[in-house]
Order: sequence, then structure tokens, then C-alpha cells
Amino acid sequence: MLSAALAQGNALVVDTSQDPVSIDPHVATSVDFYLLGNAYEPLVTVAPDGVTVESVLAESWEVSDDGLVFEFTLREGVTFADGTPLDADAVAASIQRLKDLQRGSAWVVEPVDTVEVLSPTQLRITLAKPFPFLQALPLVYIVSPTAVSEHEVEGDNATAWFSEHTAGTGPYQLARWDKGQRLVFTRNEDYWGGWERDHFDEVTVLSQLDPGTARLLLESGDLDATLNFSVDDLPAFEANPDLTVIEAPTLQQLYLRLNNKYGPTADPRVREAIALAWNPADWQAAVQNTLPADGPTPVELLGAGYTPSVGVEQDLERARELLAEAGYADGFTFNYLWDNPYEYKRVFGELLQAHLGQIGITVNMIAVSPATFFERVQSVDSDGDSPDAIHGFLLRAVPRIPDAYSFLYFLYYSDAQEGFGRNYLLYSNPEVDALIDEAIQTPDTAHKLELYRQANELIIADHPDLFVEKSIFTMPIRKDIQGFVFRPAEQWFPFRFYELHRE
Amino acid sequence: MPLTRDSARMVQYLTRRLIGLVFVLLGMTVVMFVIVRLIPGDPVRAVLGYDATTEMVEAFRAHYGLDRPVHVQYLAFLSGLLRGDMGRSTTSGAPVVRDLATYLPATVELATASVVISILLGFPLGVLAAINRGGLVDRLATTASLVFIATPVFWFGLLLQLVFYRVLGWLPYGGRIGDLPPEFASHTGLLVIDALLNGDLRVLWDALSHLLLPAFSLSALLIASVARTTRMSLGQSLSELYVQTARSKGLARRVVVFKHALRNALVPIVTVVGLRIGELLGGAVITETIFQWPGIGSYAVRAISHLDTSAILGFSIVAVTAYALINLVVDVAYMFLDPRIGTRS
Repeated sequence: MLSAALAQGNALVVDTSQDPVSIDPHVATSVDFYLLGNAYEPLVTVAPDGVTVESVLAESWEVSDDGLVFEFTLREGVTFADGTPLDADAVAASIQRLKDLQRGSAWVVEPVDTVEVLSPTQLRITLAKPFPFLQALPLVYIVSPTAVSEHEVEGDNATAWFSEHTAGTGPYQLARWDKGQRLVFTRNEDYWGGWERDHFDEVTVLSQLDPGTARLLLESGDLDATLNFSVDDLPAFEANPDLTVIEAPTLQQLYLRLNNKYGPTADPRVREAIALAWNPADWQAAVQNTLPADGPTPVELLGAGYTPSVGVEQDLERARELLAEAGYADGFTFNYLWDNPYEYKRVFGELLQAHLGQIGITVNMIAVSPATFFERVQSVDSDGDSPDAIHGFLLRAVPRIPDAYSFLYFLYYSDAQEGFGRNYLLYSNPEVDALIDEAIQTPDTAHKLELYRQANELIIADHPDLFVEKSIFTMPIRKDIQGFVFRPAEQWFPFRFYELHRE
Repeated sequence: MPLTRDSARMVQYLTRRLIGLVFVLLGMTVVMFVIVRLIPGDPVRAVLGYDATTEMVEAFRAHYGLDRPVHVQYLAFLSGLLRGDMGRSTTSGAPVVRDLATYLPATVELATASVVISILLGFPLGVLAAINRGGLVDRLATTASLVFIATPVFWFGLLLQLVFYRVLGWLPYGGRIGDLPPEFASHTGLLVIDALLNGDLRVLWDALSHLLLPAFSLSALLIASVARTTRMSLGQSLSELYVQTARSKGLARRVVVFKHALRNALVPIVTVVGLRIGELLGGAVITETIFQWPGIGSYAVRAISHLDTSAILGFSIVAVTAYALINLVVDVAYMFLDPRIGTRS
């Protein structure tokens, strides 16, 4: 049996939560993208604290006072797995490839105006507009320019080849891919980080497993860790002497986004009443493994020593008063939108029905398919005050960039309705916009954080959302696998093979 | 060889049916195209993710021709189809024909194996039950059939994994195969056949051992239907006058059952098996998921959830064609089994 043979000796077997679609680092999104962090490397990455930017292919860098010009000095002696040396031209070519393809993380290089190669190890990148570029650079993997030119077919920028092969500077490269089954990665022997410690020789990543199958494999020792498990199985994993369950707080938060422009929820008193009617303890009991939300932005991104003024307790009396003040003493119908396969959204909707029912609000649950979900969400402005307009939906926001910008801008900036903006329910506060604009151009970190905090407090006072939870990453893993480092910035595949070994 | 009147009629019949199939496919592509377009939702966002900027979305639409009017897109698809090109999947980025070639052989292999198992087990069981009506074998077979019919496929699949992989350790949990030797030549994409052609017994065993559990879990229902249909149909034949006549002429029971009654009992059995093969060739999503079988069912599910028009159409064309051809084969088989069934019915 192949899998049994692999799990023995110096091989690691893990799984991923979907069958990868494309493994081109400039095309892949979601879990596929973060899985590729084992084969490709960016100039800089996010440290395990989820906030600090640290060196990878760039050894050092300098940023101009206006935050628009970045000069990088590259690490020397790095080669791609195909033997091509890493130089400034290779980096420039990767940025250009991402720009040309307009896929994957292309939004990161969109603000880039020019890329100048100053020497084989130095390059200067100039932005056309302010943007937390350094924090976004971990999303730009550098690929071998030789592989691109060798495998280019009919001007496809070698996307056909890269969708099934790897050519990066990372420690593991793809050796084999049985589609629908598994990807096998082997060591890049020339990896610049070296192979001094007892790293794995080979890593097999099984495609999405049925949770029942994953449990059998994990308990048999043919799988070392799984992302495909059922919450109901966690007690069994915890009781198993061969397994341990990793639990780590993430910087992801769940929000009930409320319609800030149309319908009854346009009145901040109504939105506050909804927050007061909600009972977080019931949610905690229903889904387990969550923490209370920090408000609009996870506190880690707002610097040490700051406590946001949130923390709402259920207060039905006050909620009823607020509703009456707003002219809804008799309640109203609240349209809650959710996309069908997401069980937690249904659970949430039912709790919302129970809680809001106590203050006279009837929650109407509207189920749609995932492809339809965002179509509906993005048409809130054109729906206006129509009776089937959406009043609220759940949104999980992740720190795409380890900067408060990732939350404050994406979720609350007035114009952030398209592209990577998520302000679909039309929150708008000119003071908040001004603070975000100023923060983004501020080179002084302490001052920037101060501006972000002010924006954060203004948003809290407007009650734009019901802040539901801060998520906890959970993963059962075999006890003999050591060295696990949780990397919250690498959202859906938050660990690296290179850091693991078997005791 | 001059055509006899019968075979000329048969050729005519087949031609008529195949022309009919072309129209069915044409109609199906129109309907599917319209349905996929009518589903509200954005295939582009489903692929690019929600971080994509407006520029990224526009570039993607242009690249896949999604910015053209729907009828132009449909005609382009149709003209590609005539050249054997089903367009590119917006999800995988690869030509749909290549995607299908990747996933279809696994489905064909699994469907075939499951049908073979069903016939090998279900048919004898049904015959035994029919000739021992009311006896112990009959009651056991009927009970077993009921249990198989009532068992959900995911539960049965997990049970098989638990017993044969976890407890006994005899078979792999799933997947299709381990390592293929570098010199292994792929002729058909069906690993069992390829292993035989290569004369490689190790790969043959590997392929079979991976195939056994998913095929068996998928055949549970069919074993039961074949057994029940055989029992019923053969039971009916056995009570017919001609059988009683044959028996009273002093023919051996074995000869009566196998030579006379069974042939007449085959028509309903062929129907049951034929319908099921048609279904199985469209993929078996649950079994594929549990056993990590890289078949076409999971590919289709992903295409649908991403509103990937070309992939959905490519899959539908394969599924509809398979279903129609199997039905044709079944109809022709009727004629051989029972000459009273003609080409006009």
C-alpha cells in the first residue's frame, strides 16, 4: 500500500481541503495558494505572530518617507529548483507576469508603477498610489524565469506548464500529481535554507478526503494531520493517545454585516438593538472553538496596549427601547441571506431567529447557492428599499494583509464595494475614510496605529455590524510530528512542511 | 457478404437511433447553456476569488470570451464541438477534452467493475432463489437484497473501509493506484486493462486492490436489483406452460432452467443492468468522495459549483451520450434475446 509505505520513514502525509485546481502561483487562490508556500517563496513573509514582516528572498529593504518607493536587496546564493540563480531580473519578471496574467494575487501589484533593476541583487519598486505594499508582498511568489521562457506556449506565459509543475526557490518541489488523489513533493536539494535538521524527504498531500475516511487514515497512522474532519470527531481525537489537537487563535473574524444604507437597519439604533439582542454564549455553545470578536479589527493589528470599547452583553430591555425610539416598536422582517452548503450560517440564522424574535424582529432566512450569494450581496445598492432587499449576511474576514488596512479599508471604507473591497452593505463615515487615507500615507508606525485605532473606535460607535467571533484554527495531528508552527497569515494552509519533523 | 433483410433493417434502425442521438445532444446543449446562464451568479468570481479587482474580472471575461453575447458564445462552442474541441474550463484553465480524458477512464473502470461484480453475485443469487422458492436460500437472498437496497452508499463505503482497510489491513482505503513503473505504457487509461497489456502483474494487483472496495460499495444496490429481478423474472418463466411441458417431456431440471427459462427471463435483467451502467458512467459522487476515486462525478460537481459552462457541457455530452448508447445496446440486446421484439417497437 502506497500510503502506508509513505507514512513510514522520513515522509509526511497531510491533506488539503480541496483538489487543487491550478498550482500556478500567479493563478492559484485560496488554500491552493497557501499550500504553494512550500514550493515558492516571496521577497518577504509574515512571521508566526501574524503581524511582523520578515525577510525571505529579500535580505533587507528600505521604504521612502512617502511610502511609495521600496528598495530591496536580495539574498545571495539562492537558486530556483531548476538551477536558475535568483536575481533582480527574476523578481521583476515575476511581478510583470502577475500583472500580465491578472489572476491570483494580481491586485497586490496593481498599484505598482515601475520596477527598476539596479543591480543583480538590487531592485527598486515605485508605487503609483499609497498601499501597504510591503505587507502585501508575501502574496507574490517568485518563479523561475527560465521555466517561464522554456514552457511558454502560444503566449500563455507558461500558465499551462505552471498549472501542473513547480519551479520555485522553496524547500519542496512537486514530484508527482495524481489528479483527484494526491500531490507528492520532494526535497529541493539545493534549498538555500539547507537540510541540516531532520526535515522530511518527501511530503504527500492527499486531495480533499471525506471526514470519515480521514479519521480512519489518521487513526491508522497513514495520515499525519488532517484539515478534513468533523467537529463531532474532536473528542475522539483528543482521547486518542497517538493524536493531539492543535488549537490556535487566528486573525480571522466573523461578522453579521448589516445593511447600513437601506431598510430599518439603516438606523444605527436598530443595528445596536440587534447587537444587544444577540446572545454570544448560545453561539459559543453551538459551534465551539471560538473567541469573542475584537470589534472591527483584530487587536493584534492595532498595536500593544489598546483595548477596543466593545464587549456587548445581551440586554433585551435596552434593545426594545432602542427599537421603539427608532420607530420599530412592533418589529419588522429582517432578510438574512446565507449560502446553502455552509452549515454554520444556517445555525447562525436559526439563533438569530430566536434572539431577534424576543424583540419582535422576524428573521426571514433566504438560502442561495454560493455562486449566487455574492451576486445578491453586491446588488444591495440597486435593491434599495425593496421588500426582498438583504438586511444582513455573515462574512468571514481574513487578514489578507497583516495590517489593520485589511479590515478597516476592506470592510468599512466608503468606496470599498468592488475589487477586494467587502463593504457591500454600504457603511459610510467620511471621518473614518479620512483617517484611513491618512494612515496609509504615514511612514511612522506608531502614528499610523493611532489613526487606525481612532477609526476603529468611530466604527464601533456606528454599530455597522454584529461582531460575531474570532476564529480558532483546529487541526488533529499525530503526536510524533513535531515542530509545528502556526502561521495565521497563511489562512487555509497555515503551516510549512520544512518546519516539521518526526520524533 | 450480402446483407440479409434482418441485418439491413438493423443497420437502418441503428442509423435512425444515432441520428436521433445527435438531435438529443443538440437540444441538450441548448438547454444546458440556457440553464447555466439563467442561474444567477458570477462564474468569474467563483474562479478568481473575491479579492479580484474589476480589471482582473474584465481580463478574465475577455480571455474566456465571456464578454461576447450568449448566442455568439453558444455558436462558438458548437463550432468547436464539431472539431472535437469543447472549449476551455474556466476552473482548471485546461481544455475540457483533456480534463475529461483525465477523469473519464477512472469512471469507466469503476462502473464496469461494479457491474461485473453485480452480475457475478446478483445473478446466481437470483437463480438460486428462483429455483428454491420459499426455501432457505430464497429467504436469505431476499433478506440480503433488502439490506443492500436499504443501505446508504456512504455508510456501506465507510463500513468496507473500516473492515478491509482498518481492521484487516487487506486493502487500501481508496485512491486509484500507487506508483506506476516508469516504463508502464498507458493504452486505454483503464489501469486493469493496461496492466494486462503490459503484462505487469504487480500493477494489476495494485489496480485491482484499489478498485475492489469502491466497486463493491457501488454494486450493493445493483447486486440486490439484479438478484430480485432475476428471481422474479425466472420465477415467472418457470411457471409458464412451455416450461412445464419441457419438464413433463422428461427434460432434466438443469436443462429446463438454463436452456429454456433463463433466456426468456433475461430481458428485464438486461434492462436493470443497462439503466444502471448508464447512471454509473455519469459518475458516482459519493463513492468517489469516500474512496478518493478520481472520477468524473467530482469533476462535474466542481464544474457546477463554479458555473463552468464548458466543463458542464462537456460532462453532460459525455453522460448523455453514454446513457443513450447504453440504451441502444440494451434495445439491440432485447432483439437477440427475444426475436419477437422488433426494430419498430
